[in-house]
Amino acid sequence: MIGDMRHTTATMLLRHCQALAPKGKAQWAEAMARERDEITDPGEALAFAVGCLVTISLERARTIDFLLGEVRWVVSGATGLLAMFALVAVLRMLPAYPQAAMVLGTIGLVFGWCSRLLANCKEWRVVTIAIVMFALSGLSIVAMNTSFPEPPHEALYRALAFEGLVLWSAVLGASLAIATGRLYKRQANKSLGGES
Amino acid sequence: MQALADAPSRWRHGYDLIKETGLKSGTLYPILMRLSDRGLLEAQWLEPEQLGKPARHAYRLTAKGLEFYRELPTLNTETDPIPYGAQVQT
Repeated sequence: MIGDMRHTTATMLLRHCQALAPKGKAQWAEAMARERDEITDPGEALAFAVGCLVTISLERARTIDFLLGEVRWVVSGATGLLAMFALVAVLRMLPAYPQAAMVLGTIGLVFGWCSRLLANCKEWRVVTIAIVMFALSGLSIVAMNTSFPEPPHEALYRALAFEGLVLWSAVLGASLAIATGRLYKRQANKSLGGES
Repeated sequence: MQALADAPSRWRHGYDLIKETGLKSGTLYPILMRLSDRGLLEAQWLEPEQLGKPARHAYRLTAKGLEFYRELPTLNTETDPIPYGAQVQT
């Protein structure tokens, strides 16, 4: 009974391996599943399956295609949405606050630019832009807190600057993660003698 | 690698290598994958002798793999650290 359960669990784990295997390693997962048929001892079969699952999971993590692809599109989509929201807000603000609308419009265009760069796998450029925008947001807050003449609608600018700090730090973090992930993947492929 | 290099023309299966080397599947398969990625190991599906059984993946060193193995320094089991997961036959 317990032996049967261990055999069933081993088979189930190896099925997971096949589902989890990255594109280039699918035949290895298939090979593992077929080797399991040769193992009669249930304990050995289970230990074999666990080892295979760990191997395939690590291969999956090493290639990190799933993470890079999905995170890149999510961040690109999110920055694209921010650009759209900013441009809609510009249209609404323009009659009452033309100067603030111009600032927001510029920020919206930068978000749109970042979205396009992320979609085209140019994460390092987005990292640079995000650092600049983060610094600008921070400087604006510092400027408003010092002896500079207060701009009209100061509260609005302050809110924009704080929002900038949060949003650009998020964009910076995500772009850095994607960029370093791609760099790591390139180096891993290079060290294994594959394509960079 | 030694297990594969002992009879270089012979195709070996994963489970046979596990039994012979005492390595766990979680140690053996990453090694086989790395060797294969570097062109040191060739793999192919071999039809079993028994009818009705599915084909199994079999491995052997390539000429480059054999050359690489011969260039490796010999492991002194008395003084050298034993690779993690490996069993030393005495």
